[in-house]
Amino acid sequence: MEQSEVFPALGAIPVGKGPEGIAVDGEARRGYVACARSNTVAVFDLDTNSIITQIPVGKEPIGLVYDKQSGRVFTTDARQDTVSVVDVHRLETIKQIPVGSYPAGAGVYEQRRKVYCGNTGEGTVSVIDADTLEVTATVQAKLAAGSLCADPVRDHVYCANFGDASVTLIDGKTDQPIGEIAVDYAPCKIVVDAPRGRAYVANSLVSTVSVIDLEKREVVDTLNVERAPVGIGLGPGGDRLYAGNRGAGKISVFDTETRQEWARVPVGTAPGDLAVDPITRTIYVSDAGTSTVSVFQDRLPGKPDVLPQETTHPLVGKPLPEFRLPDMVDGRERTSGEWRGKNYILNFFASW
Amino acid sequence: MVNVWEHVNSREEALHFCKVHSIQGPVLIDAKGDYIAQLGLRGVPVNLFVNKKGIVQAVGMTTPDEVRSTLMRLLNPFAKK
Repeated sequence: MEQSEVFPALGAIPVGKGPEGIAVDGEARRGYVACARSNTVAVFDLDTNSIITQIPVGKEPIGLVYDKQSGRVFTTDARQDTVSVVDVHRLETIKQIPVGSYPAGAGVYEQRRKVYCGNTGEGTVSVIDADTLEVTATVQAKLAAGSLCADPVRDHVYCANFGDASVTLIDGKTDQPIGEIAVDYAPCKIVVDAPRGRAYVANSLVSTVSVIDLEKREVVDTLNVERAPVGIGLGPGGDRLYAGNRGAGKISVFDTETRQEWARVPVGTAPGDLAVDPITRTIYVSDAGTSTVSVFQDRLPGKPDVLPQETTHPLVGKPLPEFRLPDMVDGRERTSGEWRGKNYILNFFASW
Repeated sequence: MVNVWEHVNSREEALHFCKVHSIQGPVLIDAKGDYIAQLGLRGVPVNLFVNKKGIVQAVGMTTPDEVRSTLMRLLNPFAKK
């Protein structure tokens, strides 16, 4: 089967600028994405793959979680030091809760009625009561605390510390930090498969995914991905792992049983966070390069005959096309001719 | 370095990023991503290794280990090509 048949692209939903944290509600057929450069939450329809509305939240929303019980979406507004609360029935922001410095990641523990935000600027975690919307505790984590995920089976919450190459364990009941698990450099998203006792951590700068055994509280495997995984999500029942390679423009599909990479699906540009609709196994990807949500379905029945191969980019061996681009500092045009006769590395980056 | 896809205030975002991360050396701005699209690249970060003749030698390689080993391969005259 062709890749386009196994992983059909179902469209790209134009949303606000710079989409980041994303969540879907399969039963309600709705999705929510934080648009960091439009300062909105975009609400989209999972059946028509079209946008319903955009709701203003705080400045630079990055993290986003959905609490189904209360029907609320929470965004971490990094440049405003707040968590915005959106009522998904009324489609409006109902509160902005002051938290710590530069909140860039979020988590929700529905059973304990708690929402968490990782205050990246100060290495702490704010604990918010999902019903009263008050901050009830502040937990000391490590440098650049960000993404969080709950484990209802062990009554723990895990916080990925981007600047510390670690995950902090937090007691779900007492909000006390219990300890750290060492992972790779620059962990930026964590997801938990509580029944199987596994957590997966995307380490963006070293292009790996750490697999944590939650009973042993240690990394038991490290998966290599193509480039700069920033988003990660699990299929229904935790059977597959999807990792968004921001640097490669592809989603890695892993079988979690064998931890083997089964496919690399090209999607949009600079894919980031992603969410999986467990009912249709459709994957919704925040596409920060084009400000859309890319949608594709996973119809792969099992292990494919051909596993992903390392490929050489078509540019290798060819002359670099000439560039004429303005200098960041003074705006004057600079061209590739300036570097003729030198060996050099041309790096492309975005601040997000 | 080339900054792409900021969507809003490219220059200010790039300047801020370079200040926070102590990045030195020339930084150019491909605000709408026209040039990166011309190269057929669909993500960031990404590195292109270009030789003295302007030929692209390698594409990708952004982790510290990858950059080190690629430079060793491309620049070491004693290494097997």
